[in-house]
Amino acid sequence: MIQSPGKTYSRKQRWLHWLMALMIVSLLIAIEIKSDFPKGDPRISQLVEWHKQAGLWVLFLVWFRLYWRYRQATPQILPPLSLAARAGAHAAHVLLYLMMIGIPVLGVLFSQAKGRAIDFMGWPVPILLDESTGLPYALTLKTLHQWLGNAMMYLIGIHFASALFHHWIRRDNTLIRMLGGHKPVADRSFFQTTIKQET
Amino acid sequence: MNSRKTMIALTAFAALVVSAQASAFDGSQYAKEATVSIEQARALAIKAYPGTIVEEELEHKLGGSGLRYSFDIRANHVTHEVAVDAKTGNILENSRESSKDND
Repeated sequence: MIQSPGKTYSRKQRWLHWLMALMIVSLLIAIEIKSDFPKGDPRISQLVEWHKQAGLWVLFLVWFRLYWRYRQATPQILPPLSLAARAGAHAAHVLLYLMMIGIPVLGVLFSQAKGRAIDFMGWPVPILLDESTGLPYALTLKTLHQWLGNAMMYLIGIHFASALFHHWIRRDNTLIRMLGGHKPVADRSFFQTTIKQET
Repeated sequence: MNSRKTMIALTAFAALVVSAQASAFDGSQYAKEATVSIEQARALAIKAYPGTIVEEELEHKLGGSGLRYSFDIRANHVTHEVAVDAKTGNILENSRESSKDND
């Protein structure tokens, strides 16, 4: 049964959102800065290992987010968005969820295709593509993993900028829903009056 | 603009971002500085260590002209790192990948 919406996302949804945001940002930074270290530096493999483990955590945790998103109605944005803005936000969220699943899977396939087994917190990840079959596809998988990772960076940037736009410019409760505060951070009466006049 | 048009526009935008990325290899922003193309560099690298290229990148690094194509080439369960100078085509490196370079 779908639970009725509150003013904010539930505590577990909020915690998971920010935890995963931290993981995604850190794994992107780890892979970006690894080439700054000289060849053979042990920090390179530590950064790559963090990138892999954080990516697998994202792949694991995203299912809980999807489950709770399905189970609990999304808190309404007030003042309400236009249909176009709602559709845009929805499309961006769908893309982000698809990337949170697709990019780690491509990373696993790439590693396995080039003959490198992967483990998650010490447990071996099942072989989805062994080297004998996957080697010819390894470069394509790596390239796809990387392109989508880059595209996700842009999308996260847009997501972050949108949250700030809603909070500081449009002055609605979009960001507050994910921060957990119940009170508006600023007087929104002016905006609401404007909306009423328009309607 | 209705929601359907917005969805189409966003999907097209996402496809554009992905395809723009797809046309490039890692470090392709330096390609203008290179006199050896990625195709030529691949051929030289495969000649130096016959196998399957699993990673490739154009990067600035000390040695040679300072701009190189770095390839990871796998053959017989062994991965070699092969570097081709992007301005002269010289082989700058051809060594077995160590566990410290694990990626």
